Amino acid sequence: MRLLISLLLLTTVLQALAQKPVSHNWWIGTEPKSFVMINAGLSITSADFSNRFARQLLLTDQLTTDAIDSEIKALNPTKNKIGFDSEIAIQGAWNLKSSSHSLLFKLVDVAHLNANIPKNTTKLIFKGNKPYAGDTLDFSGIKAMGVRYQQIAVGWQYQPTPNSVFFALLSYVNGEQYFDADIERSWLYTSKLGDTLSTSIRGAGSISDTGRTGFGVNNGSGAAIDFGFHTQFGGEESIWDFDFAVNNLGLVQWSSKTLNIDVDSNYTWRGIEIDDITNINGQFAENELSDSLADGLLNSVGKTKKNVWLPGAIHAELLQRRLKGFEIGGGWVMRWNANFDPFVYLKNGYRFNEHIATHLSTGYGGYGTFQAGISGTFEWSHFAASLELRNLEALILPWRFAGGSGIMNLRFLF
Amino acid sequence: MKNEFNDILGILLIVLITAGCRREIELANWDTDVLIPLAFGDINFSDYTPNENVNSDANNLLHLTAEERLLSIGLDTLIGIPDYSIDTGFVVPISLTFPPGVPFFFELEETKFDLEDVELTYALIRESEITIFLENTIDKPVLFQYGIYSATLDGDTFLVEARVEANYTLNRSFTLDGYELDLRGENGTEFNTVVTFLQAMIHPDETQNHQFKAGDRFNISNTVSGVIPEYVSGYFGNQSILFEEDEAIDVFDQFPFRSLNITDFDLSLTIDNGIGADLRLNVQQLGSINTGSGSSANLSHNIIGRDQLFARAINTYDLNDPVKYVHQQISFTDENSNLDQLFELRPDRILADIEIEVNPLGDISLGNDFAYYDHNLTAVMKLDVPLLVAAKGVRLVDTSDFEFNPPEPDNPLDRINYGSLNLILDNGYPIDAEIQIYLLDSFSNSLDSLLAEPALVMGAEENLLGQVEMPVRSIIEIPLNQSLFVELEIAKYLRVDANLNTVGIDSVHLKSNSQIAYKLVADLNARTKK
Repeated sequence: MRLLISLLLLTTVLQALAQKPVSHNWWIGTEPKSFVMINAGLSITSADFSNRFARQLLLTDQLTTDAIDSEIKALNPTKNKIGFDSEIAIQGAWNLKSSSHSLLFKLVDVAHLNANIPKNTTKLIFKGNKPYAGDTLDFSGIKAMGVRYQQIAVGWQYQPTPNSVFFALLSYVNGEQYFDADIERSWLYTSKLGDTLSTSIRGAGSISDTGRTGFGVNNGSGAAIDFGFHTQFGGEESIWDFDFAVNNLGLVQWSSKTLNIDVDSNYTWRGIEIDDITNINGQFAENELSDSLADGLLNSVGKTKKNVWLPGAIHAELLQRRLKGFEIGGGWVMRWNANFDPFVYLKNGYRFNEHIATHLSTGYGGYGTFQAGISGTFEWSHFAASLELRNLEALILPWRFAGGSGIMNLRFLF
Repeated sequence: MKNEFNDILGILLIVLITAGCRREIELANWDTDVLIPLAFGDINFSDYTPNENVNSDANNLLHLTAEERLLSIGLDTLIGIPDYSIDTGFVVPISLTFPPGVPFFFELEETKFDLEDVELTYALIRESEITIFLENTIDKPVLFQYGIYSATLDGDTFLVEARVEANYTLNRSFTLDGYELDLRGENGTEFNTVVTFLQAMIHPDETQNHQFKAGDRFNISNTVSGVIPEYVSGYFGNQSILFEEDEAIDVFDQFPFRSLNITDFDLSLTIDNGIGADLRLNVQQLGSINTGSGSSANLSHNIIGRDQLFARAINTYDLNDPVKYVHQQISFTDENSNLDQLFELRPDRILADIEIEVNPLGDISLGNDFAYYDHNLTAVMKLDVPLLVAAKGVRLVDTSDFEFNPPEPDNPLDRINYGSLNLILDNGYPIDAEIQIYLLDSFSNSLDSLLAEPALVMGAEENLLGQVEMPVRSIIEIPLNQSLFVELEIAKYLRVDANLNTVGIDSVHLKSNSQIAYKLVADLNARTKK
């Protein structure tokens, strides 16, 4: 029995290999039990930016010109995605008098960021406009979205047979922070001498109340549901588990202090016009430059409520489970409102004994192209742990890929 | 179950603490090259000179114009009516009894102004003040009456009655504004003469006679002052007056050339006689001086030292336009004078010694000279200099206060590695300039120069018609680095040192449609973080 439980735990942990930080699967095994599980994960993925560049940008004090130049050289002209997910969750089930019904709860803190940064945008950010003097730099197509929220969820799980589980949770979402930007058209002309800048921008953006920041502050409220099912089929030597889950189907209404900006402008900037050169100080007041630029560019700035879908996910997975030996499986993940390409993956591994197993996964899509991960699981009758490292491709080829993901899972059974 | 709950609570606590302590992401610094237009504008010569002194003609050629009044002689100069006082009184010598309403004192007096050779027979008063002091030492109220027989307003004689209470004094003020003064005296044959009378009696309202005691005293004082006539007539005498005029002029103060070669000018001296008397005028000297440099020049022209006779103005007796002026204009050219020398030194003062003789031929009007208020003899100099200038090696130095306060606390200037402020000049004037800018400390010691080498701003070429067809572009690079910012903070003054040269050999045209367009661009290599 302990072996069986261990195998089931392993299955659960492996399902986290799905291009999202953690997977909130409620399947515990053929016999319902109470448990508490901690999931913590961090994931950064991009097939377009490189780890060498990201490491310098995020972990050192100085980004070198060489790193910038080689990064720009490798970028796609228009499509360079990057995704970031961070999630810490505690979840559990309370089996009601050893019946087939369990109460579920979940507390989660989530941060998500995704962006598409065209090559020319990167040039402008990291090289400045001077290298493009006398030319027009088109950097249309910038997209970015970031959100951080906390969830408190309660739900119900029903296990009508040992081989099948249905679950559903309803959660309250505390919106802490949000921003988005979608720049459809943007270009910048810099004259040869730098005396004229012309720009054209069409796009929109939002940012939640910047005056209220910090962990857990309430800048918006919403609701979401999770639901799914698990089923098993096959014989004693080789069991196949099929999971289907929908996570975070819901939205947040960000408060009326959310700043919404619409831009559709062509603007030429030649500096501040000085009417009287003998009194330049009075006409060149501090912030005059930035204020003038902003006045020329922004069509509409206002604070209103805004409803935003959470970056949710649909996850389906089929996985073989054996007592010992090689295991195979695969799955598919789709996310909405996350600028996420469908992600498919294959998984295979080896189970050494009832306590230890390791698996490799390879996938394609999401925020990258080819991705690989490795995981190890350790489980006992009342405790299980797993550690997973993803985006091995970025560790092996840091000049080609960017990413790094780590997931820790601890489960306590009662 | 309790243990399970405690376990869950503990785990929850750890998770929440971990989540709340996430480290903020801090990006590395990188260096970026930016070109930012900061400012633009244009400099027009006429913007920096008084608008009333610079005008353009049909060909857009700028003219420096000025109008200075060198002389203005009017009523106050020729015929100043002096203030005068009449102090009188009497002491009762013996005891007398007077009934109320019967004058116990009467005095008629003629006062003649001392106007030297001037003999006025008539005046219309514009402004004046009369003050009367009356002192009564008896124990009855006294009625005083004061009149000026010579002064009438619409046929009524000027008369003042005042009751002075017993043992009391009285001060009262009146004006003669609008009164006509017949200055021919009681007999009508005098001049400059005013007839007044004073009378005193026990006030008629009293019912009892008054017994004056010997020694009772009465004092009466009457002062006429500040008389400004609106019109006078008579004979203004044969008088000669020397005017030593010293007029400040500011037309050149903001003129950006320290020295000039004026090749063309138009100057006239206009003399208008609004006084009804013949005049002889002699300009003994006319010169200019630049008190800053100490340089000066005197005019050479045939007007100097030569008498100019002016006939008298004509009295139209029309109150709206009472005087027909006699007008005379004297022109100065570069052929008949050296006037260009007077203005090329950028004078701030004009000096003139002018002698005026009134009625040089005597009383040929038979006492009918006249003068109206504000209708004077004036001498006005009008200057019109077309700005055709030649300036070679002219050094222009301008020191101004300077204060550099980096914005706090996140100072973007600290992020600048190196770069320059590029001043792009499109010069539409045919004037070259070699420019250097110096930073000075509080003791005016030079800290550094902003430019590595003096910058040459090229002047535009004129075509044969004196027109600039294409401005000439120059770019001045002011290097920027962190050490410069330190010096900028120390600097208290900024000194611009410019050496100006007009393009070509001949004079060039300064035109109203010419300008120096400038653009200021920051060309910087900067860090993204301090």
